[in-house]
Amino acid sequence: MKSLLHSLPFIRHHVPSNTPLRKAVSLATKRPVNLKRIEKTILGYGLPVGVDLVEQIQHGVRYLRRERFFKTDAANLLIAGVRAIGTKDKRMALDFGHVFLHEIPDIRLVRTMVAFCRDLRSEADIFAVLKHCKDESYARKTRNEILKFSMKDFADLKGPLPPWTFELSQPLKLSKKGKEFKHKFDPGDLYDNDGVAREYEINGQIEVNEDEKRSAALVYFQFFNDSYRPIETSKVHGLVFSKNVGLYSYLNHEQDGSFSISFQVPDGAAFVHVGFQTWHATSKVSLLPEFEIKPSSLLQFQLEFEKFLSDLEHSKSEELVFMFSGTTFVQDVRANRPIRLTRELIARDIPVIFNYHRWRRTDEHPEYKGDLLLQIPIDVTTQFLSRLASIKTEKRKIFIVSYPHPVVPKILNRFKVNGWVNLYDARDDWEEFQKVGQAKWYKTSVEKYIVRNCDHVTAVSWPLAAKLDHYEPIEPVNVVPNALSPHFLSKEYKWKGGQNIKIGYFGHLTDSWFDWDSVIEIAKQRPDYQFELIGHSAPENLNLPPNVDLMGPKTHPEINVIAAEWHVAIIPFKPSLLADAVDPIKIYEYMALDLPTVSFRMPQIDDYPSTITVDNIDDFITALDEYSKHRPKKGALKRWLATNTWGNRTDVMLSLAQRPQNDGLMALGVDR
Amino acid sequence: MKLLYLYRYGILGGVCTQLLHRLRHLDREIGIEVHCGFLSDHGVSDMLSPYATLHFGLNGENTASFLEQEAFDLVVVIDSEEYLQAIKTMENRPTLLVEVHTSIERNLSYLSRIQPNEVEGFFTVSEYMRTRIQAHASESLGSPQISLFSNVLDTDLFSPKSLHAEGPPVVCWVGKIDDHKDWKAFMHISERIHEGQPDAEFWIIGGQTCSQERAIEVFDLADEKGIIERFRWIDRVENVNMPKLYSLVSQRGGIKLVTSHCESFGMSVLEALLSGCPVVATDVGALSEIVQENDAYALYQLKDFDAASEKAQHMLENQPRLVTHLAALRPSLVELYDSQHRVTEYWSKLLVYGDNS
Repeated sequence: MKSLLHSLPFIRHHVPSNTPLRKAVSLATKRPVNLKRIEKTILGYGLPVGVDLVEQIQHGVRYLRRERFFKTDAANLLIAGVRAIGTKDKRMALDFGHVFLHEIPDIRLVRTMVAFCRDLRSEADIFAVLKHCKDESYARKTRNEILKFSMKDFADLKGPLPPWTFELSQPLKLSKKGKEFKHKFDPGDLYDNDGVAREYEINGQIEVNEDEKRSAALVYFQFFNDSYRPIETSKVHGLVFSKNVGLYSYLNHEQDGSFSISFQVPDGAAFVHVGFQTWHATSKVSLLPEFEIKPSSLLQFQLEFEKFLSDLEHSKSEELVFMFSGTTFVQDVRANRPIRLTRELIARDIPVIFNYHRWRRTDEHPEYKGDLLLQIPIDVTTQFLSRLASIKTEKRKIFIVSYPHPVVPKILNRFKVNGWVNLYDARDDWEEFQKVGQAKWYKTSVEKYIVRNCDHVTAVSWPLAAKLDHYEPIEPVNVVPNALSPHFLSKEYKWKGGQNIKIGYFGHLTDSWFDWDSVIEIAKQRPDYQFELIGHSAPENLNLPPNVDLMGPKTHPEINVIAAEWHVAIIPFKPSLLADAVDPIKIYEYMALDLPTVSFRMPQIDDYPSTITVDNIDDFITALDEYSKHRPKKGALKRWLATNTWGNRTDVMLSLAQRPQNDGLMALGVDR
Repeated sequence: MKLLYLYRYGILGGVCTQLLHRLRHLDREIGIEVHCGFLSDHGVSDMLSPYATLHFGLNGENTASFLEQEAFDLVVVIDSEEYLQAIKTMENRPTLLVEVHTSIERNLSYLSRIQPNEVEGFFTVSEYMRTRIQAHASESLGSPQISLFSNVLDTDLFSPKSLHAEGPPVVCWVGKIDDHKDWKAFMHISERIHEGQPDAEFWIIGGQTCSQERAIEVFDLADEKGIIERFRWIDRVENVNMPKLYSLVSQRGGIKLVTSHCESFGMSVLEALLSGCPVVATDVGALSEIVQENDAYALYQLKDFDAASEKAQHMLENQPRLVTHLAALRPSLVELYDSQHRVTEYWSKLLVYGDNS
């Protein structure tokens, strides 16, 4: 099936003729992959190994990253490029590899770079590469080899040393007696460029009964110098000293058992032993593998934050926006509302602080590049909120709450007191989402509070606005629907159609809201229609009729190719309060593809052009029959979309922000 | 005379603010050399360093040797038992006074461990606190010398401010989110007020350090009580801006509600009244001493939520008249509590002990 798919014309990728190193780029998209051939092709251009060649490979990698995001094409070119450069200059190859390593932590790249580091006898570089390695087993093995070698110098030490932190491979039951591990600090990480001692953190997770106190277990520290002699100190920033335990900290674990403790490494420390033990625990506590000691991300964010503030003062923009989103960081692939609004703001040179969600603290983070887009993950934002609230600038400060996270309400009015205008932008009915097992963090009381306490409230649909109006906002909720992403439609897109009727859908396929029963029934009743469903999270064990093709996730360019043959697009969501609140971004994309849409009940889109909403299967089928015979009026959808852009939506938000409520809170700020 | 105040907590709180008032209005020609000692500095150095020599890091272990070295004539220990214990061990003890501000019972228990001849006397801020000291002090002390000096404040700062704000009347509550200040009582009373005054808003001021879990409890209870759509929480307002807050509440036709279980003095009540904001408060601790109950200052029995609600609603209905009443009352409050007027009295009371030394 896979080989068949790859042979299909829409999967084949044509690299534009003006692309540098075009043949090598094109080879990176071919299967089976032949890295040696790509490497030879790169070297075959005859360019000297230097800045120009590096830039051309970099251009190709970025091109593939943009156009073929879900594929490994970019990684193929990158690895071959690193190897090609490495034939002449391994140091340059390593520098080049590091540019992309955090974005493309492909194990082949990691192995290549580790091999180059070994050749250069650079132990510190190997640790830096392994930080990005997703293959824990390889990383552990490599670290072990290096560290064991480097520990030969200490063979004369009395008594055995504890295992390395990364050697814990299964849950470890803690007791009153400490279980110790050792860690070696990377000398390059101990101080930053300005010579400031770095904060470190120890992150991990314990399995612990939810009733246990945050002091259920502790970790104690003993630091050693590079001769492995103990450093006697009772003062380490971030840690407490007691005569019994020495330097320590309670794990202060969160509800899920995760913990993070920041501490400053004492001068001269090269190693640390960390010992875990129970303290106030009344039941079993186990330390889980994969805990780690690393430079504190908080400090990194603090430095980024300070750089952002410095850049902010040089910005000519009249506004500063804090976008509190619950989505991933700003990127090309995702097209959801807070990201789109942010892109529009950035395009207008408006500085944005973007809060994003990450699953784990060890996930990669998009560094601040001086482009006035500072991205901060939620776990850091919670510790930065106070500083964010008190940012001092002459610019109009706009706090857009894009999802009602429980961390927001308590501090919301501190933002107001400090001169921020607070907007709540409701993009979904989170309460209904929670009812179908999503948005587990949601609290009705929190959303009600946010609605009442923001200067203005916006919602993607009128039913959602009507719901939020019951929470008594200061002014009625403004309906600000979604819009079309400017990057969705390929420039060369043209609707083609075809003799066989094709019905299409793309998006989430979860049975929480996708009405599989109805879709299957409709497909059975129209066996001559071909149903093409694109997306992820479809339930397993679906018994689909032969005319339903589950195509899996596709990129936007791929969707453009596939949907050009569709006759009608569908939104078969289960009629529910959840669906009632929606203004699906996909309908804008369907319209951009010049497709009419048939949907189950969804009040917001009732009046959208070439769109019909129905309440039952029979009406759905009738609508499909009708719409598959007629094309939308020429240019009608394009004209409608031209007045429904993210630019329009941003205008509304900025305009609302010019009218803070005169409730007197801003007068309570320090400088007012 | 060389004078030392010893207080464990070097924070920008009520005790240090009182020290500031005393020190900045101290007539330097009297010839008192003032020092202040703390365990740690949590912002107090910026506040007090222009007026006194400050010492940090003082604890139960090093205080005695520090005192022997510095040879103070008079030492005032404020709410900190470890310093009393340290002084006990000295051979040449300075004249020692104990100043009591806290009204929390468990923090007063150390008074029972003070033996005759260990201290010259006590200072405190209200008649109520005098009775608490008497109740806790060891019988062997007999009738200890207890001097009263009420808290004072800058009445120029705490005065009505002109603001331009719109919105419904506000019932405002100030404090930490704990059982002592009783934030839950605020919610219970707000629920009752809401029934009679559906437009009124209910504001909590403070609680910056409150945990996330407790914060969610606050929102949930506000929702349960049916006031979430009328609820605001401003978790931090700088002290210097509290007069603006009270003025804002007053101008929006609002009042302040106090639900504390005990107050040694009731500073925040006084601040509100001086800023033109009527107050309904629990009849606990020293709250009945600040000023007699009047139209703009009503007391209710602890836990009597119905009475509190009734009095609050009555005030809300008559609020403009009460603000006028407070304006008339203000000169007498200034007379009683203005730091500049009153501090001379403090020093003359203290110097009695200084002369003894």
